Amino acid sequence: MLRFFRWYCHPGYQEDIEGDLWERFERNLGAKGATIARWLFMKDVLLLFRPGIIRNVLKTHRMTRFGIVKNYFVTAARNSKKEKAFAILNVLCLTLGFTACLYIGLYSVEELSYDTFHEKAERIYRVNQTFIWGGTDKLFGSTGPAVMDAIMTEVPEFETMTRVHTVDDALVSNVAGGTVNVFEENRIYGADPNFFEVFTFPLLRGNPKTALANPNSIVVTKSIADKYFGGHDILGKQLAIGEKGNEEVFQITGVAADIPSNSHINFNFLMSMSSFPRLKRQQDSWWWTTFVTFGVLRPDANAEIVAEKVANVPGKYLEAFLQKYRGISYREFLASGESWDLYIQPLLDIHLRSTHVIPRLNEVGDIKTLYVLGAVAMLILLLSVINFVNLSTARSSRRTKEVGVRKVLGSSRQSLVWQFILECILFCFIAVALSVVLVKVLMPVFNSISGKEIAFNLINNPALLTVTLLATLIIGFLAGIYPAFYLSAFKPSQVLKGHLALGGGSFVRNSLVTIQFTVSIALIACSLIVNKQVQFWLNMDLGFDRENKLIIQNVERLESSIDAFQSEILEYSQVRHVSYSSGTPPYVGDNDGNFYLKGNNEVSNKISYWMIDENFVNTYGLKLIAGRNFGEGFDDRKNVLVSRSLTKAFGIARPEEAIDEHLIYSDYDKRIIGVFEDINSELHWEQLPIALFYKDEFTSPFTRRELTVTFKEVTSGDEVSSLLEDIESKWQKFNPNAPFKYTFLDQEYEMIFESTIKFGRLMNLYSILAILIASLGLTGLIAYTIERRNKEIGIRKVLGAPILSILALLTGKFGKLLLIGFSIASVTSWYIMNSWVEDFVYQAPISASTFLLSGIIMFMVALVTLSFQTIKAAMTDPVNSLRDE
Amino acid sequence: MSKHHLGEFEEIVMLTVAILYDEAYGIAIIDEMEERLGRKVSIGSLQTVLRRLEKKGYLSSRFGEATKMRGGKRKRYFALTSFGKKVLAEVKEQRIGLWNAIPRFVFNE
Repeated sequence: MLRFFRWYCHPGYQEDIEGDLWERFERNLGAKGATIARWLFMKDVLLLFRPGIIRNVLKTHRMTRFGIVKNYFVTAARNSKKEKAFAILNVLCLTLGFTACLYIGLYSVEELSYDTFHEKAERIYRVNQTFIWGGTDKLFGSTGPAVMDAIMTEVPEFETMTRVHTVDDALVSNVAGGTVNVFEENRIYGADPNFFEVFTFPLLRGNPKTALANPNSIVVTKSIADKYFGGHDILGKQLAIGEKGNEEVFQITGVAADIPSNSHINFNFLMSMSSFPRLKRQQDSWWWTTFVTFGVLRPDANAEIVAEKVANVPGKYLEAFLQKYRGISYREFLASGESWDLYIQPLLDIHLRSTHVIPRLNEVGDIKTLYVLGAVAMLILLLSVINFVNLSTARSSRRTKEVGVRKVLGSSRQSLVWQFILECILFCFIAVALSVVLVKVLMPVFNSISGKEIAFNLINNPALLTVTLLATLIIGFLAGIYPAFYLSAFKPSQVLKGHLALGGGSFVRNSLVTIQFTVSIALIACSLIVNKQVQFWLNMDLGFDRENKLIIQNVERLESSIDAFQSEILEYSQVRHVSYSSGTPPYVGDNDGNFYLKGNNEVSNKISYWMIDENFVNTYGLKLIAGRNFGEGFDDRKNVLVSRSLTKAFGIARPEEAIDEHLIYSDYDKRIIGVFEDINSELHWEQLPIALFYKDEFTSPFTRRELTVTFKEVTSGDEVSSLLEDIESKWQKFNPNAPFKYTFLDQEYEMIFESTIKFGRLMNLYSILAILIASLGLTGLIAYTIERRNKEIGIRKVLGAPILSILALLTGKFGKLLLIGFSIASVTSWYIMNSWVEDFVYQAPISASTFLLSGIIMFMVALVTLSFQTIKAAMTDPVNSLRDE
Repeated sequence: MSKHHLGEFEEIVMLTVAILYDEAYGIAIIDEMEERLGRKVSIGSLQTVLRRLEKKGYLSSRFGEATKMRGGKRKRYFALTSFGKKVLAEVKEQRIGLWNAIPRFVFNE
């Protein structure tokens, strides 16, 4: 009843009448009881429903306002029709700006939504630790298996904890199911039985509580199920995982819905943790760092206190572990300059805020990139809004009469302001509508540039839709406000007499053009620097040759036929070298501390090592600076090649002195027979010293082997692809069941910098967009200037001014603005990019020429833009401009 | 005829507001009228008239303090404006004039 009253009552009267109603009701309640009081209340409310009290349904002044608004729209439409070029230019610029923003908005929403779908997301933490394998200051996103038990015992704030054990890629085949499919699969993880309690991955089939309880159980995703069995109703079916002859059979106990693209944990296969017998033997290991440990905090737990408690865990548990495996106490361990700290990190921070952590499960993004892209999008939008403001004010002379007439007819300044703001908002809405269509159409292109799978569903996302509409309103308002005040300020008496209120506002216009130049030049400079950095990495002298190299992976699957395969490949005329090794750049080989020189147990070093054959040195073009290569008729099983940095690490002054020293590692004792110039296989962090052992050492059936094939430089792309087919058929001949996998070394290096390369591509796109918008704006401005100074140009020409001086006259102003923009842009972009580059181990120098180049690019673009029209203007016959009809 | 026409109910409301002086808000006015005239008035009819009188400029109003009673809503106190007082006085004079114009014997009969 009260709601009914509030609905109909005039808002100005509502409060006190409602108060009266209450008072009467309260009194009646005491005197006559609840029922009667309620009835009387109702009667009063109904009797209040009368003309004097109810709100105005159709206010007369609202009617006229509606009419005026309608008139505004009509005027806007007529003006746009009259000046099509201007309107199109305006809408086009705004559309470009909005498109850039909208895409980056969608991109950010996707990035920010990582891992938020887990029900307990806000309470889940990951345990990070010191990267104990050295070579970097970063943390490690995984730990040994024992860490979980230790924390569980020491930190009661954890409700539960679970581990994800990362396993190497493996061959997977379906057991007994009509056609046998064998694929090499990745993202195979082991998980503790409570995995699905911690993380929210819905199972389509199977019981999440028991799916990972028993040994040799496996949960697969729906797409994997489809791939192997053509359907997901496959509980109880079996998969064999592992190399031929060493497969283990797993029973499918669950089928998970496909992992959302915004998940840091994105498994294909999830094996029960009890399937790993080695884990039983090494429960207490802190060294076996392939376990990503997650914990769920109790709702009332304080993360800071927990972090402190977790930090104290190593001190208590490492003592026994280090005593047992390294024979030293924790104190001695710390005294040797090493550390082993544990940290916790919120799950929701993993994707965007863990550049300081080496991830184990999935690549991570960087919140900085998001900030940069967001800033860039804002700048682009700013450019297009500036265009709008400039064009509107510049063209104001066209509308002075309208303003004058409106004012004479009694329009207030306020309503004129609103007219222009509304007009601007209208333009913005058209632009947004167009850009929504544009984004939708261009989505695949954007996605291929950014390497993301972003779906465009603005309609299904009410929050985003609201934000977009609201942003449009606000931007329209902001873009319209200056022109609105500028235009509505004209004095009708002067305007209608024919005096134009000109000259004013040119300072603002010039500043805005300067801002446009600044932003464009800065964006060009930044994208040039990003690209230069990428080129720097890709062309860096690594101490070996990375061109023309084909890498065939997992050749150990050919077993005893490796040598035959190798020699068959060598027979091709296009092939220069073939060698095999336990690994190839850019991935570091195994690395380990505890390398000693014989006779000196004091100095130990962390060393990265590979097993190679005698062709490796030639294949990669390593430069020997002392000693000899493997092979050459010697038995090299007890020998080793080392890098120059290794000799330095052991304090050997000259490489020659290292020859015949003995390198001790574990039970192995190797004689140094050669020293090669340092190479740099990992660009992410400092390269460790390298030891290259001869191939047959440390062999076990599963040691990975990669075959590197070097083509001759002149080999064409077509030749390579036909060669590849040939090699594949040879591979099939030796082992038809193993998949043939290959890659090219230069591509591998590009992969390392993929995120930066993508970032560079986006920056390129956006700087081009910036140039485009800025030059569109210039086009509009210069067209206007020419139009206004048409007669002046004509007179100058008649009086004998050369074309060049007219060009200078028209463009000189922009030259000055460009120069100012250039200096501001250089300083700011230098400052920004300097801090960007600082994050990298290997930095490309930032040179002044980059800024100069970006200034020149902008200058050229501006010149071309301006020239089209100025030259045309300067060339026109003065007769046409001076003739006065 | 005076240019300021005042209806009978309007007049009574204005007089009551004048009687209550500082305490003239909706319910109080109704109570006062009930007491003095024995006349039942609904909130609706009273409020309509109050607003109309306010719009005509005979009454002014202000909000009082909010209290815990009345669902926390403030009271709106009405008072006569000087214009309103003038109009009332005018009406009164008109009435008196009318009374005075009645021949004596009419009531004496």
